[in-house]
Amino acid sequence: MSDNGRITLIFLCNLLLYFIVGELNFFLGGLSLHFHADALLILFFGLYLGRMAGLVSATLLGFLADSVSPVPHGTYVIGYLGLWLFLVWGQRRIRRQNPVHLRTLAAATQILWLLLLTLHLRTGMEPNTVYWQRILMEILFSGSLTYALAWPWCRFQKNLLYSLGWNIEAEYSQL
Amino acid sequence: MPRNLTHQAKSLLLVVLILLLWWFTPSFVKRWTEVVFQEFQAPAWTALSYMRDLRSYWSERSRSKSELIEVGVGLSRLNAAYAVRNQQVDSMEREIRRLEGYFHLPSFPEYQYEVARVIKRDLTAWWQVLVIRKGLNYGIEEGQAVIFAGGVVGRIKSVGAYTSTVELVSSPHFRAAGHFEGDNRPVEFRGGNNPGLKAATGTVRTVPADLVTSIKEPLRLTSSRLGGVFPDGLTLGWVYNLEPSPDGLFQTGKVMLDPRLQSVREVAVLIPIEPRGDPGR
Repeated sequence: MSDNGRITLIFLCNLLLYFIVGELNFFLGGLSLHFHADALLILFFGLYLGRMAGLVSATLLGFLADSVSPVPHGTYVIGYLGLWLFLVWGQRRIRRQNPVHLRTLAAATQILWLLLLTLHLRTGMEPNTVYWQRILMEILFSGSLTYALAWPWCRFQKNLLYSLGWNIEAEYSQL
Repeated sequence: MPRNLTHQAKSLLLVVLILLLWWFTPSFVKRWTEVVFQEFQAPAWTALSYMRDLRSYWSERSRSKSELIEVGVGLSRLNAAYAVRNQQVDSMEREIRRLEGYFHLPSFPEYQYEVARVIKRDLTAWWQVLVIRKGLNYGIEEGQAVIFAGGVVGRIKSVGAYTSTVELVSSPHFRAAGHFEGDNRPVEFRGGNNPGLKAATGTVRTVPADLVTSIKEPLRLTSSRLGGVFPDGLTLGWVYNLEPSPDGLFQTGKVMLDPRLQSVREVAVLIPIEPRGDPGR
């Protein structure tokens, strides 16, 4: 399989995650909860894959999320590109083999995105105590879940690439 | 690009380039991409909802025959009760028509009920929307009312070819005219900030100062025809407490919405039926 084929497979895995999270949110809606999985979706593209693959994937996922969210058009596209850039910046500042480093960066990315959304979508909202409680709850809930899932999700994608003949970890350690 | 640029700097330059490109993209192209991506993923969401239906079908199949017979008996009782109520409604409608004709009153708008399954639910701090499994293919249009067994669900926000997005009454951006049961003076209803793990709420404003409510005798807030979207008398929520507004002329209060709203699986879209042209005129 070519590199492009493997990258497409990784993109499809993330697309599947996008729909699974949507299904999870269907059930969480009954509890007034929502899991924002934006950082998980672009984590692997930002930390492991090349520049063009990462950019294209982050943009496509941004378009997908944008079209179903009632936000000004372009919010998610621009946001995901920003988050991808943040992860690229974090590439050389963490040890990707260290689960704690990777989990912390993923959770920080997710929290950063939720804070940016809070600032961006403040128009028309009434920022009272209940509003801030809800924001805090979403940040803690999504941040914790992202922290828990980031390492297994990346390891799964790395193992998938390894089984397809691409040892991405060894490639990076030689750089 | 110069060779001495780092990987991060090159990535930054590329993102800036894409952002500039996005900035200068005409709005019709942006709108087109939005529609394309929405329609692209709609079949996947629909397929997921069919899988959910299939799952519940198989779980229902595991029920014993005696349980099903019991449910059937209950349903036949309900059917009998609804048949009697239908007859009463028919006679009341005839009476309304007769009075409308007698007093030369304009008739109430009539609606066709299009029942649709909920396929996606996004209840966040900033927006509260549902996606339903019917769209333009069933004549659904933007702004139409959506209801369920517990009252008002919301209104159609956007329509796709096979799916529609509904803005819930609990959404912070939702506004509607309403009135209290037994009192025709209009009030303003707004969706509120919703706490997590609790039932959704809204707020009611411009409530006349003479209205009184208590925990034992709450007021039922219903929809009003004034907005032109909802028919009269559908439940919006219940108000247990009213407080005077700063100007002293009105009152404001918190509206407790139906807790089933957050887990609703089936809704009905009210599609207005165009009045038939009178050939005599």
